[in-house]
Amino acid sequence: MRIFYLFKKELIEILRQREMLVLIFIAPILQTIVLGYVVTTDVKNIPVQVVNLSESRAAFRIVNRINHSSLFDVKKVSHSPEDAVSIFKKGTAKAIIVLRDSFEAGNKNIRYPEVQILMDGIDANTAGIAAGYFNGIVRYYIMTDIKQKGFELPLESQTVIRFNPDLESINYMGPGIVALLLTMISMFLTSIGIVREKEQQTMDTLLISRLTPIEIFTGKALPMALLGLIEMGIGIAVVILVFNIQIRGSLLYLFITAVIFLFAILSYALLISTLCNSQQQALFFSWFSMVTFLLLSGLFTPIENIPRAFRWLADINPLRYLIRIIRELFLKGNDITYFTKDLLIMTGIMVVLLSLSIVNFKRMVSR
Amino acid sequence: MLAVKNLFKAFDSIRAVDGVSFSAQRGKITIIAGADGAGKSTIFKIILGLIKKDRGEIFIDDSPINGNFSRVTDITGYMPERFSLYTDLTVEENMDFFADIQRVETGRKKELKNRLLERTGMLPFRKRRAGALSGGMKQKLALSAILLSSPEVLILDEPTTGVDPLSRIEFFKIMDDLKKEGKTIVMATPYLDEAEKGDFIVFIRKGKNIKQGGIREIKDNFPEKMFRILPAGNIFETLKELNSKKEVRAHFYIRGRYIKCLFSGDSGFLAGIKAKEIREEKPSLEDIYLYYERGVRDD
Repeated sequence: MRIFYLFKKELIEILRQREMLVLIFIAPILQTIVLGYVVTTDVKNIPVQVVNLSESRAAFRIVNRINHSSLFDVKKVSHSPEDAVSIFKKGTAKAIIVLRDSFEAGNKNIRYPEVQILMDGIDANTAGIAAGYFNGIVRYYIMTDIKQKGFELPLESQTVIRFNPDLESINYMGPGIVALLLTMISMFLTSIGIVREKEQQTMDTLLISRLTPIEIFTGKALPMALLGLIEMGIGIAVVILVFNIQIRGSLLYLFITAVIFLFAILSYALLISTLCNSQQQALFFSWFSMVTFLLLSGLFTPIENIPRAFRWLADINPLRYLIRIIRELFLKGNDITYFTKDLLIMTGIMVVLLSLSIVNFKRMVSR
Repeated sequence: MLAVKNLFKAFDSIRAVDGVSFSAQRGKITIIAGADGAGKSTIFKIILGLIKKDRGEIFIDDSPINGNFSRVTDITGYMPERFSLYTDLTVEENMDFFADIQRVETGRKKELKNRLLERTGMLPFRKRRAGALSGGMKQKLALSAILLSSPEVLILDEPTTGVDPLSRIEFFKIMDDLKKEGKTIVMATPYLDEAEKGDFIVFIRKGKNIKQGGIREIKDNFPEKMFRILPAGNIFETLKELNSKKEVRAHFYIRGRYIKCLFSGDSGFLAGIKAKEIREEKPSLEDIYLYYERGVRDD
């Protein structure tokens, strides 16, 4: 029962602050919308410059295709050589496509111009994707041309993309952002919880009132878990209503996953709170942890890209599992059997973190 | 009622509490006086079980608690130095919360809360947030909150620090009433003028008792005479002149426009001093504290 009084006190303390209300209830809506639109891995409107030194029809057609593609924003088409380095230094284009007549082509019936793609490698990710797009256009042109000329292709590949056929990044970033929100608010608010009690010396009063460490711990964690779930609800509503991404899986599984994740992250935040001596320290620690969790979560880059030596860091990151499960629920509509292993690992992490923080908290308040 | 014997606590190489012993009686105010960092708060936290002691024992009604700190906390109200309030909660919400966690019966809660707030003059401010209260009001609210559990012992850690003079006077009026009700009050303070309002005093320096006893007895039995000198010329030159009298075993210090002089024996050495006024007076508790604190004579 006394946990309820702590629970009530915590909620009043948080909700009493107007700035906090905005942060908790308005910021997630804005963040989901803004992040949903902004944090995209889709590569569009790449500024390019075309240097067409060829007089062939093929070169004309390829340039025409590039011109009409939404992937590229053709800044200039010139017919004389250009200084690529100077263009990249000025930043007027991120790619330069040079087409010139090929004299070395062995087959005299099918002659294509030589195509050279020069990329600005500052943004390696965009450069790689854009190079792929260019090659795709050229390859597609060649294939179509060969077919039209009546030649048989020895091999033809066909790609079918399931669950996100248009490869819209919002479809997988949106659910990921919901996971991000759940982590952010719960972690930051909770990490200052116990340290604030220490700072304002109310912790001593709580302990003298013979509240047990477990009661204090639970009384602190439960309101944050509730707020976290509300946050998640807001995030999901925005993802569904604004981005029109439907959840194909079970909401119940999502709820179970979120609760397990929340207790893992709240335990971690409470551990920070017991270890730190001031709210500034706790916030700094949370921020550092948050960035690490995020970078190792697979939200922006695939986990498989992480070097093996550091992969274990991702393996003990609860956010990684939450993001994977949320994506599976949203996009694949998977049943719990598909992510039982992830759920079990996350539960294991939660149990370890919870035990660590309770032991540490007991040690902190031990007489 | 509450006593401690030979308390020791060290933080690494620092001896925060070094063999402190004292007892606090029912219906009396016991003052723990000492400079900042003397170890006053640590002593209180050890008594309440918030800090582990290295050695020593705590007694309630002459019986050792043997590590059972609930024997202390069950009968004690503790006010930490910074009042221990939730600044985002209103006065009433703070009272409700502390009443709830201290298991005050629901039927009694409202009446008790209102009575205590009325007693401390906080009832008109019950809807105000604790963070928006003045230092004096915070102090009264904190006091009201600890009185909710009707404790027999009150441990107050520098309750008047950062509080205006009027609120201090009101606070000591309440203390006097509580004393009359038979409460055992143990209060730490760095202000010796306030300490005069107590019954017993324990002077602490660097974690050690340097003097303790009834305030009246300490004052009456103070072994030195005290003179107050108003120099005719530069106060520092006069002090230098006094200090140069090596044959005199005396202790001098500046207090405002005066030089205070504590010594035993003949006052003849003051005859040659150029002063507008030299007057013998009874030493205050502050004078006595400074005398012991500066190590002129330890018990």
